[in-house]
Amino acid sequence: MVSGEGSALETRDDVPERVGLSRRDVLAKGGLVGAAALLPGLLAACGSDSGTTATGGATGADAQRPIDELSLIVPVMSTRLDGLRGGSQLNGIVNIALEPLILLDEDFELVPNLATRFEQTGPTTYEFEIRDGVEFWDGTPLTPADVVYSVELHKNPESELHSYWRYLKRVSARGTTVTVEMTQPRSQTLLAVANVPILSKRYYERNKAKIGTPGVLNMGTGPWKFETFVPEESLVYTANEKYWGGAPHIKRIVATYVTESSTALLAVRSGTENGNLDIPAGPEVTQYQRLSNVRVQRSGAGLRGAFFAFDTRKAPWDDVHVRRAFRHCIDREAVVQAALAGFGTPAVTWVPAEDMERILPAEEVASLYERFAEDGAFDLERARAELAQSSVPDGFEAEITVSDAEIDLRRTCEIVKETLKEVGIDLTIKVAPLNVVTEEMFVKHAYSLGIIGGQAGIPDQAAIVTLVNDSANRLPDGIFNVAEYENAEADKLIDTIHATPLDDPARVDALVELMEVTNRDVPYAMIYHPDSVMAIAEEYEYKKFNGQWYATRWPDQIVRV
Amino acid sequence: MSRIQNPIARLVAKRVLFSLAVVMFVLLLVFSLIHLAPGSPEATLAVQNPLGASPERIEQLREQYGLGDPLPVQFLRFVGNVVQLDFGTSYRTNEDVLPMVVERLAVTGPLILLALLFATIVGIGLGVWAAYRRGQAVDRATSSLAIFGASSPEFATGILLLYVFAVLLGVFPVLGAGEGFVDRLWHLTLPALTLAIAGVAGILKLTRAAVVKALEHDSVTFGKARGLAPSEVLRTNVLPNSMVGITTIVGLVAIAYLSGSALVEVTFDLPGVGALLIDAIQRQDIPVIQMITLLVALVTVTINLAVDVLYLALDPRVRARASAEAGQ
Repeated sequence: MVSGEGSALETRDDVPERVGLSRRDVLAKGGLVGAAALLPGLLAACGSDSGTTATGGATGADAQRPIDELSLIVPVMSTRLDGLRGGSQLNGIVNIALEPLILLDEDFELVPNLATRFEQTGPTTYEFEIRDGVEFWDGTPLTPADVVYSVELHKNPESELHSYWRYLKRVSARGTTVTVEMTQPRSQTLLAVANVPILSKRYYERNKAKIGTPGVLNMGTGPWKFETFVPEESLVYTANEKYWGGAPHIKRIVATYVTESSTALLAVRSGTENGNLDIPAGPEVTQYQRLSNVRVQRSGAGLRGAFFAFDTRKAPWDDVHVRRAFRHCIDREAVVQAALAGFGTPAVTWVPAEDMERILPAEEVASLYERFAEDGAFDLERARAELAQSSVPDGFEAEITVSDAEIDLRRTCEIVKETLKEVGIDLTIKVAPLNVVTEEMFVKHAYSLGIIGGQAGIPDQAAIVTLVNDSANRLPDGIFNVAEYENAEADKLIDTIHATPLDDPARVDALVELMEVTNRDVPYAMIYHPDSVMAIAEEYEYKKFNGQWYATRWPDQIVRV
Repeated sequence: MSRIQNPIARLVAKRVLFSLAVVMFVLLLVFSLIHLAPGSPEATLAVQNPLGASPERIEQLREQYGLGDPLPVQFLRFVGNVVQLDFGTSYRTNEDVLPMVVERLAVTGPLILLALLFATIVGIGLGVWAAYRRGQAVDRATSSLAIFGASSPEFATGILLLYVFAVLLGVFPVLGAGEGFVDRLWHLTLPALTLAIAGVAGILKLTRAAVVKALEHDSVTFGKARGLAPSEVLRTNVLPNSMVGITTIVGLVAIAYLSGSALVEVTFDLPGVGALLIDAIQRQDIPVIQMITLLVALVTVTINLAVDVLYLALDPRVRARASAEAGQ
């Protein structure tokens, strides 16, 4: 159980210090992915560890050379700064200003922030000691009532963090202590708390109708304040010189969302932008590598992934032999080269090895993944053998719809189509707008065969695998189990994962077992894990870059070299 | 209408009424197309972040925006609100749509005007030059160049200009719209040039044809015979006789820029109306789509109306014909 005791979660009020929650070796953090461009949020819901730095809320300004202005291209931009948009890369945009109670540091360990102490006091209860003397940007003091209000906002389904908080029973304050009670054990609760922006209740109530719009913005306590905001386009932050943790070393941050990738590249090349925080894995990375004035940083970690989804209710996908045959037809190495220009790794299960090694010894990961790789190997002979045992031994026709915005997934389908043909499966590829594909895929579960790419919203290795395999997430009550997969054994393991604290080794065991079950039943077939890539002007460096930068206070990691 | 005695005013009044009918038809058409397109606004909004999507959220959105009401009810509600100058709020950003679009007009408006200025000056200048040098190398060269510009996709032209003038030479910015008059002008120069290049060909070709025709007119021959200077002939005879055709094409190019600006705005990352419309369509943000559609329709009919009125001002023959028609 994550508790104050073992995790040294206490710090002195006036001197924030880093106190790791030591989840890294114990927790299986889950988290999954997002369906492609739109799913970036999906996976964000589950989360796990990987983290940033941040010294317990302090920005570490003393140790870093000041930067007057940092201008970065970001992969997403919020529609509103109302504190309800998040659960994905948007957290990284909003929460550096509207800071949370606890933070994930550069190693993805939970550390105190606006809470000087946090503790899981029971299977469903958590306590947070609110830091004294913190002020909002307008000079009003932070109170426990603000914290209660900020958390309660997410009980509304309008919140994009609602999936974490649907099990919230009560949040209450006594003195300087805030207690969060859930209706059932939810091991991701602390990660969810690290996602919740703390807002001024007074300001929010006063501007409720238009909160988060360009003219109103929002009121927080973080090291950077909102200056100007153009929805879905740009956000300018200025340093909060009165920040309780010390003035931040970056005095101004300009975050811009650039639709056109060629323009973004030229902007970085010309020096107009100091960097691009998230470059899609693919040929574009090579173009950045050719620039002489930027450093390109890559990470295999980041809980990104792409996979096929089979509707297990519908023929012929209701036959496990068909699903296994399909899996044997995926030439992952070729797909990584063609779809990602080599900037990725073939996927054998849900979690990239680099992320898995945070919670399981490397040799165990290697052994486990070797077995998964063998089970799902690209092997047309085995595919034919599986098909021969199936209800459609002579092959069949299938159809898949891909979004016009997801070129990597489209290329993937084109390659797999060719190998499927060799075993008698005739695949037709259709293209549709992103919103249509998403609605048909998730809201209606209309596709018998689908392809999904995305990233976990929070750094929990269990996030995606639990989300898309949980029978509770089938229609009509849920949307994420697009395979409509139902397996009592898997559900039990998912319940165990949810009920077991992040730092309990039993959670990792349950996760591994769940991976085994889904590897056997194949409701989904893994394809690849794209690398996380960023580019930044040579005079800067992003220390410990990780694909889940947005789960941390990422500007703390950017230094002048 | 019958009380309007001035035949010109009657003609203009007729055109205004017709234009309003066109605007209403366009609104109805766009509204229908939005709902005929696959995908629903509530689902599209909900799955912007799939983690935030749930059946209850979709239902909440449907109720919040009245999306469960019959389509005629939704359309009439929209029209009723528009009459009261209430254009609603954006589904995505919760901003009032009217100020949201007006703010972006501060980018798109100058962009289009600047592009039109470039295209008109260059197009008319080259067109007149080519007409005076008909059949010569200059004529062929200008026509070829203009066609080449018109054939280049705006996206490619924009990236090329960015690469040369912003990256290699560093004389213009790569991104953004700038703040203040001078800064904005500086930021909009390359986008406006991109847009202008696409429109020059049409203006050049029409101007050339009109001037060639005017040059063959007896009055020009007579002017030359009287010893008038070529510039005097151009000013008093050639251009006045060509202006109806030139006005027509400039009006058409202006209308084309209303839609063409969207691609340019995306390429140069400008927060303009066109880029907003693309986002709104992708996310089925119906109030924003409808507001911009209304705006584009109004501007289009206004330009057409202005061109018609200019015909009357520029050409006495058109005035006479209009008066004769009105008197019948």
